[in-house]
Amino acid sequence: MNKHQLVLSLLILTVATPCAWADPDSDLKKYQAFFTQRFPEFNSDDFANGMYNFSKDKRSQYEDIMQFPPYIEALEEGEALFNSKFQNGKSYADCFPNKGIGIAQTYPKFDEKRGKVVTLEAAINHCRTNNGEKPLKYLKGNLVKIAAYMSDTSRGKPIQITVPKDARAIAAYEEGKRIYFSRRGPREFACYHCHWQTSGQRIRGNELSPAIGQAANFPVYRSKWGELGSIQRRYKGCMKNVGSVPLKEQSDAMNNLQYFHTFLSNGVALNAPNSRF
Amino acid sequence: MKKIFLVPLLSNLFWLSANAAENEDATKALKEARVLFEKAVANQGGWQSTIKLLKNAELSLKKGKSADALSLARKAKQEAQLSLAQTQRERNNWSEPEYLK
Repeated sequence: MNKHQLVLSLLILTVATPCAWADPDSDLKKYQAFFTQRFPEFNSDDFANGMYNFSKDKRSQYEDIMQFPPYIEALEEGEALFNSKFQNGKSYADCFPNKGIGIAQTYPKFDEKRGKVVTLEAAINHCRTNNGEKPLKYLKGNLVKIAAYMSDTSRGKPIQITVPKDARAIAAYEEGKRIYFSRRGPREFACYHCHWQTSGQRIRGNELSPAIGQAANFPVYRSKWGELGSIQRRYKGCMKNVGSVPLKEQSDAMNNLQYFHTFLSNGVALNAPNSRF
Repeated sequence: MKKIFLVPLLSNLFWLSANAAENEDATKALKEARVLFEKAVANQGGWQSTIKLLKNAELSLKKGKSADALSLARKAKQEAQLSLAQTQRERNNWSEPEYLK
């Protein structure tokens, strides 16, 4: 084998390996089966209700809050922002399929041109920069309000994250999975420690929500924040809670984590924006 | 009479040189800790508590409390090493929980 053949073989091996050992669809079956066996009384929508499944008191408070959802004002602002024109006369609707209506359930998605995972928030900012506007901050504020409006137009649609048969997409999915199952911080916590086998149990005063369905509620209005925030803001909070330095928002690692985590909720109806304590 | 002045002078000189050495050690340990911590963060790891230790070590150093700075910098370095080891270990040995297999 000459040098060129060796390099070619190594390249083929590198590209083909992720396809050989990753099968997101069978992962999903296995993961969702874990939760449906753990909570046989839950239907798909119940999973989206997260911690409110486990405390009648909190469920009742939530239902009271939702009589006048605290995110309504932000949602209206998001709609107005979404419909506003850029300086070049174009708008957000021009950047998305179906004018951006009813598509939020497909995000985050793997962008074949960029070769990486793109979140809805990033797609909104790409739209801005492609039209000569400055990007907005990712974790809260106007960008999240726009994402909330777009998610609202998808409310009730089942989450539909696809992992195409592309080695780069599989690698992104696998990285997200690795981060999800990896221990972080001095207490050696991984995401699954709280949201799989111990879901439904309490950690101090809070009930732990199952991993499935969590992503269906974001962007979310958290009472603790007093405003809408993105799912990556929540991830950062969780990472800090376990004592680790959070991943940077919209970094490839963070986006891949969101890709894997949202993929877990495939089939659960989007119910965003929503309200949480 | 000369001895009366000589003893405190020597003692002060000794203290100053010991303090300077401690200061140098603390600065070195702090630098090493920071490099390790940044390496851990770049590898998707790092602990919140290390940030606090690094800040406090730096503050102690500024205040001239070299012994405290050295102790804090050493702790920060130890934590940074542990967090880096954790992230390297997890990268190669992470796994789904047993109940999913």
